[in-house]
Amino acid sequence: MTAAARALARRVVADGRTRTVSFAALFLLVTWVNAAGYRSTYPNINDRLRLVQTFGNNKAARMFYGAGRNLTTVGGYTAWRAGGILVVFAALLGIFAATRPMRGDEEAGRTEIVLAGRLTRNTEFAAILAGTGVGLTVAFVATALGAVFASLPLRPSLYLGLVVFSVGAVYVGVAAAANQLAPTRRGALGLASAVLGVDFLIRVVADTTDHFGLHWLTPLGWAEETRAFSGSSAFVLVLPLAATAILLAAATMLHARRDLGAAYLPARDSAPPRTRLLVTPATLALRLDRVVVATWTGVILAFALVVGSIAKTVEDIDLPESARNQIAKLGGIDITKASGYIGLTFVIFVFAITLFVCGQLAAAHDEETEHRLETLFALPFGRDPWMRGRALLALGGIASCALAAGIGVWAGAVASRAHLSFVDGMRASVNVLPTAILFLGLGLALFATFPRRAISLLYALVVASFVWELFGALLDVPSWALDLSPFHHVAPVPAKPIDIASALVMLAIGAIAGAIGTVRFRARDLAGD
Amino acid sequence: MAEAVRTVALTKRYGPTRAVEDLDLAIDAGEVYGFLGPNGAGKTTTIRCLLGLHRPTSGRATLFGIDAWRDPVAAHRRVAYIAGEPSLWPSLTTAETLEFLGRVFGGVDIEYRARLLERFQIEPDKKVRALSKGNRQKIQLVHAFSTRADLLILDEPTSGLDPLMEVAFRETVNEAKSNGQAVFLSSHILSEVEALCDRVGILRAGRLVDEGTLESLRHLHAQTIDVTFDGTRPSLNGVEGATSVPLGANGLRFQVTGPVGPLLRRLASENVTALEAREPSLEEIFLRHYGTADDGSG
Repeated sequence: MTAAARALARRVVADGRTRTVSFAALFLLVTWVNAAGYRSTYPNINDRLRLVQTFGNNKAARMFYGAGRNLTTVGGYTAWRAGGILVVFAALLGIFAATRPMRGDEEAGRTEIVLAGRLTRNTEFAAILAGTGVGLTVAFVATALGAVFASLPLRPSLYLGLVVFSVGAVYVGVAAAANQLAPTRRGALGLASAVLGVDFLIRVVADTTDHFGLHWLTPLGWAEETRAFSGSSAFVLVLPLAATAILLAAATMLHARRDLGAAYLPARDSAPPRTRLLVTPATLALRLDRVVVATWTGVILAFALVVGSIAKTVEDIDLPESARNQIAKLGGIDITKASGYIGLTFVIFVFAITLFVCGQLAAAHDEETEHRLETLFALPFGRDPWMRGRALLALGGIASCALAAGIGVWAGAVASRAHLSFVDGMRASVNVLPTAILFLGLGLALFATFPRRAISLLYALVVASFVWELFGALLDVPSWALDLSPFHHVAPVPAKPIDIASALVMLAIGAIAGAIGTVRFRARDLAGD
Repeated sequence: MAEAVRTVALTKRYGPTRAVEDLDLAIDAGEVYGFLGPNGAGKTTTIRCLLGLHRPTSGRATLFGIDAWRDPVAAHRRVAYIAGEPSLWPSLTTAETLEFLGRVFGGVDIEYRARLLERFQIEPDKKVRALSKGNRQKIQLVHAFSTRADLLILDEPTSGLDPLMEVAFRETVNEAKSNGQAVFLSSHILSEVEALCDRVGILRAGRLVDEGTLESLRHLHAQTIDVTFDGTRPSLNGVEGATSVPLGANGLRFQVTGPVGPLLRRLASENVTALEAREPSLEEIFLRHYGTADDGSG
């Protein structure tokens, strides 16, 4: 590589350092907590066998992590629970890491400056990929280290890291191609995320309906077939390797043949005016974000339908009485009933909808950093009504997504003749709201207080809370520490009633934080350059 | 009636950086005021404080007597603003953007807007994302002028405009002026300010270093008088209020501050073949304020 290309690659690494470090910490901790936690929580074979019988065969668990193998060993369990979820995060890392320096910089006009220098387009593209690869390699090392720190043997630990890396690499390829197709970073992110969504859905169907052949279709399925810590099938890694190579070759070719700033998907540059929604800043935001809200609602509905339609297969499991008792002791709910399984699964919808909230705040944040708020607030329009409008839009989106989740699981369950009433579905929907509103309020407070860092802080808070809820229980920590995560207070509705006390507390904190946000936003300078 | 713009000891600091220092401005209704200064002198910061987008560290800023930090909505009802960097919504078309801005402003002069669209040669169906900077700037101009607001705050409004559009812009400002609208024109394009403004303020490193009508500014500053002699130039040192430098083989260029009488009396006894006097251009006044040091950034 030339000096200029090296400089660009270093720039990419430096720009992504916050993301790389956060993800690396996540990969290391999740791996370590699972391995170390399992060893201490399930010390003998009897405990482990019981775990396999109950949790291991549970469809809700399979949905999250895939189908486990060798769950009576520390390595098998780690590969299942940590690996199963980290491959999804690796895919997200790959998508974020590739879209920012590619389409993001191009959109912002920085690529034009770079290409006006001594770099050719192919070298520039290669340099960015090199920088992205460095970030991804850190994730590989972090995963392997997490396993090694928990006293797992080195070679299979490295192999697990490689599996996680391989999924990230495929999605760097997916995002690199999406960057050629979509004219904006947001569009490229959307395309690549849609691919990941389909991938995840196929993997879920494969694992929950025992159609394991479907694994061979997608990167997440390949990762499961690599069988880390259960007789590794290293040859499977050829598939992600080939996919990455093909995608990157296609992206390089597409990239070299197009004009800078252009894209292969048609961008409509003119349109007849549609002014119905252009009345207030809030309705403008609705107009700008309606596709986003509709997409989230649609994806959640589809996913909920799948969750609902699997409910019947849970009821059909013929578990011995002893196992049923054991499960009842675990969480006080019966996961062999549709309502129990859906109650446990619903937390993933709660998580997804809080991510939607993060996206809404990120959109508000962009309005400020791209100076459109300056245009707006120079008009006779105040900051308070703007903030109210944004909050209202987010609330509407939350309601829409929550409703889709409830209706989806109900419709799916009814279609497969499982026992779930419409009211049960609606109760599950309502149960989503307090957590989402809590994070909305916290997000507004962060936005008003830390105009620069607000969005990364909010994402970090949401992801950390969720990961803590998933894995914190494995550590020997006092219960107040587990209580720190808002997700810990989401009752498994409809198996249990809504936890009114927790809901009220979350709503109150959300409202107070939102009020603090409104006051603080009123009192600060708009972010300028 | 309250002044259109008034600042009293306006000061804005960002951490240790002093962006605006102790600024006093008073602009009457109907006045066209040129706010001059190089990049980084504090022009945009002043405007952001005026509009209540940034909070003054100390001092006060009011628009028609209303503090825009305390009550931005009331203050902005009579004000239209053009930002130096046009920040609009990329997915809206020009027509949609104008419709939205007009509605939020609370109604605009539709007929005048139609005329402006024609004058600035705007394609209404183009999306903002597909427009160049100059074309985005034109959307802002059309909106601001179509509000017929009592005060127009323009922050380097012609950066990105081609010369034809620059002419259209001057025509529109003159229309606003004859309508009795006040204009606060922040700029570093001196010819533009010279052509449009009744009064000028020069900002340097956040402080107002000079202010007045163009006439009075010229009066206060040195005139340039070029004198050509028959034969070799004489030595003319020690004339009150005048300094000289050689000009060509047999001429002298004088810079005269104050009355020119003493110089003329001395010249009367010399063989003067030609004499040319001119008032300083705004550029010369401006450069004189910045010529001595380059600490205008901040």
